[in-house]
Amino acid sequence: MTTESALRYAYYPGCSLSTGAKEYDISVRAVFAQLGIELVELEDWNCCGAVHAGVNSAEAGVVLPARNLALAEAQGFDTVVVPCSGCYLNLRRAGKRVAADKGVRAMVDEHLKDGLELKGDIEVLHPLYALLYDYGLDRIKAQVVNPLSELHVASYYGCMLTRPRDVFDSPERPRGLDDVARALGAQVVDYPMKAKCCGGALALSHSDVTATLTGNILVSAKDAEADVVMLACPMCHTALDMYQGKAERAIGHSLNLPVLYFTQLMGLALGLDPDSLGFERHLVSPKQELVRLGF
Amino acid sequence: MAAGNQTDEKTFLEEVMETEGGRLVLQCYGCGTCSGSCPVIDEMEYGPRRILYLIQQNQEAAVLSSTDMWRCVSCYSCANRCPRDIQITDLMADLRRLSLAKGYAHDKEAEFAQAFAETVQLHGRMFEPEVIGRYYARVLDLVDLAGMVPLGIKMLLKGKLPFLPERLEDPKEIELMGVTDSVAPKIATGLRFSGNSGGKRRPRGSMWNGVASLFAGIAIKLGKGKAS
Repeated sequence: MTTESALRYAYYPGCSLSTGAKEYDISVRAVFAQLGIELVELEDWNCCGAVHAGVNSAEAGVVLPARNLALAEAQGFDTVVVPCSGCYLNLRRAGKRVAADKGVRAMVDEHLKDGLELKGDIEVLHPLYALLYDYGLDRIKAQVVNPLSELHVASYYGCMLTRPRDVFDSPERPRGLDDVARALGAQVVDYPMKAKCCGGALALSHSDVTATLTGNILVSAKDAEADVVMLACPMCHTALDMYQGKAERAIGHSLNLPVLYFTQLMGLALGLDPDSLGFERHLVSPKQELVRLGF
Repeated sequence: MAAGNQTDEKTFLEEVMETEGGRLVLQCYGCGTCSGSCPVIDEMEYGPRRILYLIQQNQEAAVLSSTDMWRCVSCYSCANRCPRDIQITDLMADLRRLSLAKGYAHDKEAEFAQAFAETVQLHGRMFEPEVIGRYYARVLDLVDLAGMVPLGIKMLLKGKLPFLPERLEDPKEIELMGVTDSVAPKIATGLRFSGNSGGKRRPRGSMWNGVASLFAGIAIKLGKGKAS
């Protein structure tokens, strides 16, 4: 899979990255460009359905994500990079189901517009895994110009990046983000809640649940003396950053723990302009940490 | 496509076993690893272990009228650890669908799921302001809404809420998929103070549908000028 030949992927941003999580979108594109990896945004992509697409119709829960894979094939790609953990799971799973079951493939094709079909031999990767397994950590390490040696990073994995169990990382003791943080020269802190759920799925309907689960994670990271939390999912970011105020009220004390996307920290370490990485868009400002690091 | 009250005599257990997540429910021997791993077990009436047991016992009303599947956060901790490989998280999603189709659902998350599905069906992509609008029109929970206003203002100031929906070239393509088509499309009741279960569902949200379509139509017209 990995060689010196230039990597080129279809890119599925998903709904969050085109609106609320624009800073993740910006930093993924910037980092991949800096590393010489080509990302081509999928034309006319649709919502993957999150956890709701199949709530009325089980078929729709497969067809909605599968349409994006069919588009990727039609647009000449063999791999799609998907930065939202929820979208990543939906697309990856739809691809697997179509590949494994002719009946599912026929059902999907029947629901797609004429001329569009899914052959099912398309790979779906989270950008973290594209970097780790297609590109290679050593090559990233070699391009670090600003080692983040003064930064204590708590990697937060959430759920759908590593679960259900897949081939890339451990669902119980994941390490992919920690490996990236170390390659950037940062100090990795270990803490027990790194793979526990933030409750982001219930952020609107049961926000108290989200606040409590998120509070437990942030307290755990803070106790481990993290300066920042680093993650790879816009839903997790919504919970840990945007709901941090509610989490503080739920646990009864303040936290003030900046929550950054792993691609933002990669951008800093790789020498990209800090002003181009969207740090000003977070509700919990990371400014103090950036200044301390000399950015 | 037939309505739910047809003559087939399938038991609840059989119905569950026909779903993707429910195939292996009879494999459960009740070890409780799922409930012990669940981050929202305190929010649940039964928890996954007892839900599995109740399914095995054919207790349709108890299972489908509980709110447990609506509190599931889809974290896959239970499924990952299940020694019998039961896909419990997927099962929870299948139970959501069954509880909606049979008119048992009564949880705010059920309303949120419908608000989300309707928005995606209309645009092909998510549009947060519309999802939020449709959701609060369904639950009519002003206290909750008021609690969200400060966060909503912060999000607006940070440019995290879009003003216009993004749409597909041909949103009709998504209509083909039937995201909102259910055996029975509406939820039993969405009001937070309702504790009923299994009652006749009544159509809700039709007024909002009209308002939303109008709003979306205007937004799209405005957007046409700006966007590509």
